[in-house]
Amino acid sequence: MSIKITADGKTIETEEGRQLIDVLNENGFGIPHFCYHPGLGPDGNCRMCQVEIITPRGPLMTISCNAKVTDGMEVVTNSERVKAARAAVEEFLLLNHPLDCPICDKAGECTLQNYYMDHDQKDSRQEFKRFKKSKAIDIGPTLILDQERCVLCDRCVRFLRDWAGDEQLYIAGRAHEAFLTTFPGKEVTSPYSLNTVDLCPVGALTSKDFRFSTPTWFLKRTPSVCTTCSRGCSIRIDVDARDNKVKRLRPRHNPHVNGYWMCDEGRLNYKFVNTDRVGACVVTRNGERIETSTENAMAELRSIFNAGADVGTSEGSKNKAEAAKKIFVLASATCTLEEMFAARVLAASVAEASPYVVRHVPDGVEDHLLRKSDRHPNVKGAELLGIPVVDFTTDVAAGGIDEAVPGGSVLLAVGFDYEIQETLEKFCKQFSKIVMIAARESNLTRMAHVLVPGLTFAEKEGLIVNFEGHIQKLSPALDGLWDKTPPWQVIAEITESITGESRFDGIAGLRKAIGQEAAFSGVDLNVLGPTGIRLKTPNV
Amino acid sequence: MSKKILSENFDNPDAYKLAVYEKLGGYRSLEKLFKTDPASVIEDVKNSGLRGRGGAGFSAGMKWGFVPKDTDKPKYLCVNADEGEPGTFKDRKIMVQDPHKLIEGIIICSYAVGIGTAYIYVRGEYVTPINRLQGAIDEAYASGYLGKNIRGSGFDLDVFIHRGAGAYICGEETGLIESIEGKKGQPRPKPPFPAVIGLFNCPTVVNNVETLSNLPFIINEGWEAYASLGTEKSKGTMLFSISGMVERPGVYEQEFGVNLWEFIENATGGVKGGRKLKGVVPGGSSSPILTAEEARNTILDYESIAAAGSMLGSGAIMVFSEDNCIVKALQVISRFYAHESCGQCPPCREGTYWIARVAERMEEGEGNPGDPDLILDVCPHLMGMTVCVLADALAMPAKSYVEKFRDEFDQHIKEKRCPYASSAASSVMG
Repeated sequence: MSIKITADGKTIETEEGRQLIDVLNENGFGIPHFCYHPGLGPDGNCRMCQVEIITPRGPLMTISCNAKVTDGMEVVTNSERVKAARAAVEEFLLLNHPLDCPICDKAGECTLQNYYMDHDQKDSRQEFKRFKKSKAIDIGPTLILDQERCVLCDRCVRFLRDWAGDEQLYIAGRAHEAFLTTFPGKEVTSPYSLNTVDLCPVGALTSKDFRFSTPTWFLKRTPSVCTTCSRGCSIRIDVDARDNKVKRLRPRHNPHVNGYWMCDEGRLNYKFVNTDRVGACVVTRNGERIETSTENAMAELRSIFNAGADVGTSEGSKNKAEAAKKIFVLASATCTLEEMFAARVLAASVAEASPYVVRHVPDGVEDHLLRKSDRHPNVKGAELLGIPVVDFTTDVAAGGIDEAVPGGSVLLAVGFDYEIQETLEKFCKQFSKIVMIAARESNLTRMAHVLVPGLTFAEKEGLIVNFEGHIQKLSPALDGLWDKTPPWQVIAEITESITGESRFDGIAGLRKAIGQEAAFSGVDLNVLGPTGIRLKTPNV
Repeated sequence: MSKKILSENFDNPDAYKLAVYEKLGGYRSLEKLFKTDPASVIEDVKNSGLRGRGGAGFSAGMKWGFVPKDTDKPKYLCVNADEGEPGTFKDRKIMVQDPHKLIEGIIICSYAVGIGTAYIYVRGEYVTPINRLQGAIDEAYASGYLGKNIRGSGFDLDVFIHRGAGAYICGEETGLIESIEGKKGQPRPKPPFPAVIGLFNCPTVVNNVETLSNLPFIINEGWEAYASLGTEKSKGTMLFSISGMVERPGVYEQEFGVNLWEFIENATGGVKGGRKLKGVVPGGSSSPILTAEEARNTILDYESIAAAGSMLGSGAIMVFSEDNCIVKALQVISRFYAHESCGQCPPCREGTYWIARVAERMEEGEGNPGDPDLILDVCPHLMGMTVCVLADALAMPAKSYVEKFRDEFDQHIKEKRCPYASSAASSVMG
């Protein structure tokens, strides 16, 4: 039921039964809080979110996280009493908080630090030695715990217990001696453990991976999507602006896909971005790999695909047509919708065939929370484009491709950047020539006659469709270094060079073309919004 | 002499035995009870004016009335026998001397509210009360007062003792519930209240031992008999645990409405050794202190003591004589509350510890001139700011100690020592 409340005189329309703190924060009141989290619900321990509710008996101080809005509710968030209560909580929390902000990973994005600026800004009245607890405790494969930084908000405990189903942290002891810890002899091993680092309002729980790598104020945050599995969690890619390297991935709230969270495996799956990169175009001549310019590589590509045909003569045209029919296209299931579509256009217009989308990353662990066993982000996208999906993750030879490969065929392989299985290598060996667009070196790239650098998820723009048919956009987080032609465009240029026709007007034009596919009808792929769009069920 | 409802059997050393209790008229309320409609039992208790004796003084009948009638869930009774407030020892007396009276009260409450299982949460250190209570429960089962089809009434009730593990906070009703559930004793935010979502997320009544022990009288004699005792809003009698500098400390029952100090003097023989009275803490260590003059001019009931700026709480009266040190008293109680804070809320966790450190510094002769004002400045931020009232339980008395005995604090700081240090009786509480 729609109701109205007033806060500091401002009328707000909302729904009955919602948490007051959510309603206030959605309307810009910025109610401070440590223990509340919309993904965990109220716990009521931190006392920071207090507001005054006007009752017949006068203003009543109450925590806004545990209050539900009711019609006609009158709230005061900025009275002297409210300000004094916030300042007092901040002072209490800082009394025995260690003064190690300069070496704390959380500095710059620390709630306690920010609230000091917002609500306290007084000198400490602490004249006693601060109460000491333990520091830098190794509590598992992913986490380091600093007990004296902890404000005992209980978020990590509640997240692991109530959401992840792994009760691996608890608050032991009581009073000022209470401390966060693991159960005796046990570690935090939850596959979702690193969410506790995001949840921690201070630097009590830090990520072993990110610890001491970058002061947070140097991080540039780009909204994107995790490509580790077919869930496609919304993320932020945090790049150190100084060295232009990805430093961490963090979940981004998306109520349709991942809520507030992501798994550790996805979160730590960024390191390949910085290793074994294909840095320039490579052409193989007489068994020797030669780095070359993009122009030379493109010329080489043309000559391979056109088989040296002279377009002016009828004989040449015939040869060209013959050669073109021998083009075979494989795209990784990690490719974007744009790359897959460009590959489909190439195969259809040149070879009068269909490309194949290849599953090549072995299945991983699946659970009832977020992780999907399919470790490719865009199998659904291939299906929606009508591209056959073949499986090279098992020992089955040819991955289920029953089409005979004519002698002298040329392979175009796009997006095979990691986890390439032997069966795929074997399959590729039957081609007379291999042209690859790949971001990283592998056994496959070493077989390539022409190699064009590709882009990883952190550098490219593109769409992926998760297993439920939810489309989201990857955004380039790294700049400068990767001013390469995006893979979809390389494919489009190859098509153009053979057919002589220009197909797409930029990536927007490409998306427009995809939008004309039945599966995507009614969706403007150029306007997705930060949380993406769910395709209607009949299409999926 | 006051009317005796709760302490009527205290003089009989064998009253804890079922046969003796029955001879003294015990369990005779049940016959009448099982013939009465449960809803009218609740009405009777409401009308009697019986208020909770655990400290808050809330109407017992109204509390029962909050339990939803139309629920599929089982309902529970939690008997709060976690008597931990410094100065309070009256529930112990009931459990040791007259445990069947409590069991009779439990049956009455359970019948009225429709409860099938009751847990008695007893302070872990109370070994003798636990043994006496368990003996009484066993006897009651054997004689058909507990278990299935109690005395042919068709009403079933099981009673279990849950022994606490030594945390004051488990006397807070939701901390108690968490503890029975096997969790760390930490109060829950309210709402929801236990009457709706309590033990195992089911509707739950939490009542103090003394509160329940009044019920046999109310059923036997009728609510009018109970309501005729006491004052307009403070009905009946109450057990007072009197300690400190008095001639005969102990548990005394008193009908409401008499003069506070006259009651103490008559019951205990007055301040020990004819010393001068300094002040009276009327309701346990968490209640603000009354000066000697205030104590002499206050009527013993909930409203008068509240009007005097304190509270009746659990009825634990502590008497301070002229050679008791108030700063020492603050040191002792602040150390207690700082130690017993569950640690959830920053104002309590950090605030009680801060006050304890400042109080210790003053008592040790190392206080700063600003310390009394620091305490007065910090206390309001502990009051009404937390999940439960443990922080208030220190802030209220601390503020009253400093405000009413400011000279003593300043003297400690000025002389850099405790002027009472040589006195053997420097502290009432520690």
